[in-house]
Amino acid sequence: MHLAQAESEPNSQSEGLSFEFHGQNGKFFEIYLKNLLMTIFTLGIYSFWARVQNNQYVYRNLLFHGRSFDFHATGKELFVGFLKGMGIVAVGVLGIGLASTLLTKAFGPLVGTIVLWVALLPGYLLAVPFLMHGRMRFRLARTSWSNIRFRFDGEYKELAILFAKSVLLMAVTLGLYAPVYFNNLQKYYTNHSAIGNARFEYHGSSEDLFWLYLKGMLLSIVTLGLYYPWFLASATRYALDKTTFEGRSFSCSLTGGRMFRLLLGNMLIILCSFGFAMPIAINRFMRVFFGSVVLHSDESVLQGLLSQVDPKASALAGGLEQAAEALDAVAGIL
Amino acid sequence: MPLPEFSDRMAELFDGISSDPVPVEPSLSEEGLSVGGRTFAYRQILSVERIAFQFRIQFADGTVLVVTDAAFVSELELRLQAGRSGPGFWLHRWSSLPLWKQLLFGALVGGTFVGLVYAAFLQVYRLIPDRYDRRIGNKLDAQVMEFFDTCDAPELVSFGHKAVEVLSLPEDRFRHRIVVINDPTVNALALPGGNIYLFRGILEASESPEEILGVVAHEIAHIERRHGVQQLGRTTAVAFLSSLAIGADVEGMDMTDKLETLGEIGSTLLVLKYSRGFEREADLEGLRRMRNAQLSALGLGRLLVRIEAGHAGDFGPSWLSTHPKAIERLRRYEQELASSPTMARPNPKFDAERAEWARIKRSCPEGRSWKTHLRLPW
Repeated sequence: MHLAQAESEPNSQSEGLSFEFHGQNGKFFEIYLKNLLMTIFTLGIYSFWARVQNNQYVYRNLLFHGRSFDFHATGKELFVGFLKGMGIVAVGVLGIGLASTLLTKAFGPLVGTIVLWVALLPGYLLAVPFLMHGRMRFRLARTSWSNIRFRFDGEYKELAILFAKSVLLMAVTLGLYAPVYFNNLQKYYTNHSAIGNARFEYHGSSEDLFWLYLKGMLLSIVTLGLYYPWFLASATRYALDKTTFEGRSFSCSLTGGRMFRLLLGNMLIILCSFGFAMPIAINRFMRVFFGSVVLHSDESVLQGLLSQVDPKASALAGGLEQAAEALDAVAGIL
Repeated sequence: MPLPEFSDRMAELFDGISSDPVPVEPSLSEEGLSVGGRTFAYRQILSVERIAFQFRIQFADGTVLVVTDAAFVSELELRLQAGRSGPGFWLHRWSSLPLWKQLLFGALVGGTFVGLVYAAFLQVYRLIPDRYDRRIGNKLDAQVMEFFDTCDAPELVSFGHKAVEVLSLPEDRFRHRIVVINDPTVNALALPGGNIYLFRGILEASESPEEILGVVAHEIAHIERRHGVQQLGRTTAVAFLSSLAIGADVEGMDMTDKLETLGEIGSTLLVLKYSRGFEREADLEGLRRMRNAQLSALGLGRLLVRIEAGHAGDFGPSWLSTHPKAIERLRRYEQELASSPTMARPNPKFDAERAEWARIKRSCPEGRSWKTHLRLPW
């Protein structure tokens, strides 16, 4: 028996290993406020360090089987990733601008624009999976539980093929293929995720997900969106119920009613505070969501996990995404 | 309930190599914190945090020590505090203040700073030369011309020249030009630098030249007050400051991203409020120009009320709109009329147009080119 377990005995569930979230609104708000002020004083530069601290607070207060998670990224690596991303995106934007001008001169505005879009499509099909893959790899490489790092060993090529095929099929089927894509994506992400030398697996089927999404979308439309929390809860339950860790299954007991109260409450909290009460909303989300998840196993599955660190994970993908978002925001304003 | 198998001083060391924590008994000395045969100097301790019922001590090499003994942690913090100097000392002093003091201080200092940054953004447009307005206006004009048909009926062109002539003032920064867009949209817009676009729809909705002259005066005011460039500064300021305020998303928790979107809605409402401010300013400046040209102010008000009535239900609450309610604007024009009797009379300069207005306003035939039927999303 471990230190934390002995203390948390009354909360432990006999049917498996559970999560607990201990974040406090006051403490998180204090960190958030300090980060907010520092970000404003540094005109945004501190936001990278602020993100790390916010994440660390949330991760460290999330306990699984009495031991905490942690977030190990540093503000410096996020900032460097952003600067590199900014450079690449700026070159890309200039290149596209130049190509657009040349094509417009050569073919006129309409044909030139169409030629440009056709030429950019392969770039899009390669770039999006690059960002998805890089972000996942970095995120897991910088996350730990019991001070053992998670890792993601999915191949970029596999994701690029999955993405390109899915985009094409979604276009042909007018979006009906989307649940199949989500299922394949979940399988790709989960089956390539591990903590130390122990692996996760996903066993969901495309057919199940297709009917779940179809029902969810139809009822959401009929009920003018009111059914959406119930759909979200059932999709979340399905994803977790079909996930295993070293052969042991997870389960999630999040109900639609609970999800509805969570979403509605958070919406009111955020809107009424103009975003300032974000820590309260995040704490609510973490408490409700993780309070509903259980791993059906005894503690032997967690013993003897050995660290395997991924030294090549970089913050570039996240930085590229943020740079693209920043430029998009500037372009939107201009 | 089984009793813990350790004393209060017992702790667990997470070495980052194995998931199994090592039971240890930490101790403090002058050199540092000793645990499991190793001694960490106090400067190697990055943080001490209380998490639920335990304390988490993070070392610089990634090792984590978890203890439950509050007395041990208090002693450790005293030693850490004694060793602190410079920014570390002040940071600790700040962290140990009660939350309400931090909030009050933060609100005062942060609020002042945000106010200053915002005010600076609002004034940035003064540093931007007028030629920027012309350049950006020309670029946007090329795009407008690309996707809209214009109407060159001589009577409309002549009316446009005359309108600009009477409504311009000697101190104006820009030369104004009116372009009639062959599109049924009931709208008018001004681009920075001097171009004013009247859509065919607004001409057809009007009942006298004064109504359109009021629209032109309002649009000239937008151009001369440089609202386009000012709006750029305001939107940038609100977007920038709100992006600093929002941004506590948690890695891996996609639902927290959606919370950010909600926060952004708040800042959008703020931007809308500023747009309404510009509209009010353009109304006042437009009135000044109409008074100067001895034109009746009532026309524009009546036109707006008629347009709004035609779109009953489309406008929603005023705080969601970029423009003030037409009825509010009509009242303002009526007040202006009461104080300036010359504005209540139709100006004889436009007698000819007034007599022929039913024909002039329809002199723009419905567009038949591909541009009218094919609107590309960009």
